[in-house]
Amino acid sequence: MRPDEPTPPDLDDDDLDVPEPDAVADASERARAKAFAELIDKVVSGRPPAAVPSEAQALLETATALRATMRPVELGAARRASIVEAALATAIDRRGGRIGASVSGSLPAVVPITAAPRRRAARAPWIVAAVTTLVAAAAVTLWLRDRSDRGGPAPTTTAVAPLPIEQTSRPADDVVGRIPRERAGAALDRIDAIYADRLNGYRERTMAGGTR
Amino acid sequence: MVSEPASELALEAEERLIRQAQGGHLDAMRPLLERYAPPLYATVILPRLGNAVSAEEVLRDTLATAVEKIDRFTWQGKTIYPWLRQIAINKIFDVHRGTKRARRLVDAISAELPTETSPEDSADALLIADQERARHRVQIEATLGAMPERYRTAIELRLIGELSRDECARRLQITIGAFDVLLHRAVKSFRKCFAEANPSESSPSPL
Repeated sequence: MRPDEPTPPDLDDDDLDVPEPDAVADASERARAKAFAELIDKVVSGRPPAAVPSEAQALLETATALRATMRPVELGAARRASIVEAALATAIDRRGGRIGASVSGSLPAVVPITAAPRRRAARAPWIVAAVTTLVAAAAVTLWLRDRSDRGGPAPTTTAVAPLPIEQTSRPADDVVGRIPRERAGAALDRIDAIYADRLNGYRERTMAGGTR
Repeated sequence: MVSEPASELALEAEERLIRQAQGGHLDAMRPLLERYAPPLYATVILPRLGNAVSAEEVLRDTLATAVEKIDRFTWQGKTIYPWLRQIAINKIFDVHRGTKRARRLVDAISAELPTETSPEDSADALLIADQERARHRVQIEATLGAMPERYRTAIELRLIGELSRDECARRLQITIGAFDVLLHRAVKSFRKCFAEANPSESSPSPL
């Protein structure tokens, strides 16, 4: 192979002779060296190239591996979390698939996390049936008690005095009144007025010995 | 990376999480995966692949396989890290299988397998990772020491020191173009020297 021939993609670099450091480089070697230097720029700046020309791949891997050993390598927290999440999802998917495929055989001892919602869904009809039965039993019990109480004294009715208007739920229109355009932004004042009005009703009721 | 001996407490917690995972709560593996992902990436996978993108893929696949096959792991009072590392080594082997470099890599990885049952299995995961990094570092430093000085300097300035190309060229009193050529040849030379010095050693695989 002539020195100016490009490196065949499949040729292992270990098979090539390495020139002496001071040997003159031809144009082809300079071009390959420049392209390699630009790839190294990306690696050093933390932006490893996604696609690498095949003739540079082995050397770039060597440089990256060398750096990984001689320098501290960081796997960022976000990247790590993302990889762990993806790994868990993949594993759960795979185990779920295996369960589906092995129904006729022996099931694995571990139930995947994704199987939990399906298990709940399978239980739903039984839960509905149980609740319906309980409600029906309670209704029958109440009906029987009602029949047994018919012979007793008539129930007494208590007259409830109507509450004063300030102790009831009511619109705040009277408190706020019509809002002039220039006061449209003073919502806090209106809220304070409503709060004070409601607080008056509360005080009257609690001080009169009533319940909340 | 700071190494500390695995405390009884840490091992107990690790065992409890593994038991939970083996009992079906796969999510219990999450703290273990988050703890061991960085040393696996930095000291096992990336140095053997030399490609950050592929390394992340192998790491993800390694962790997924570990979770999927957690039933096969037998707790023996030791950290799960060597088991994870073994899975990672197998994945790396798969990545390189069929490539032109496979032959040498198979040799290298095969030579590495016996270390999996060594006494260091009982050590803390980070200690194992540190030992592994130190072993690789010794090999690399020995190789650099055997290279022509200008090649060694080019690698130290640019790849290890991370100086800019301009600065490297200035320090070596050559043009940037000449430095590019020097670094290109230096990495080639390193690759060749390393392969000659470590024909079947456990080594960063792309070397």
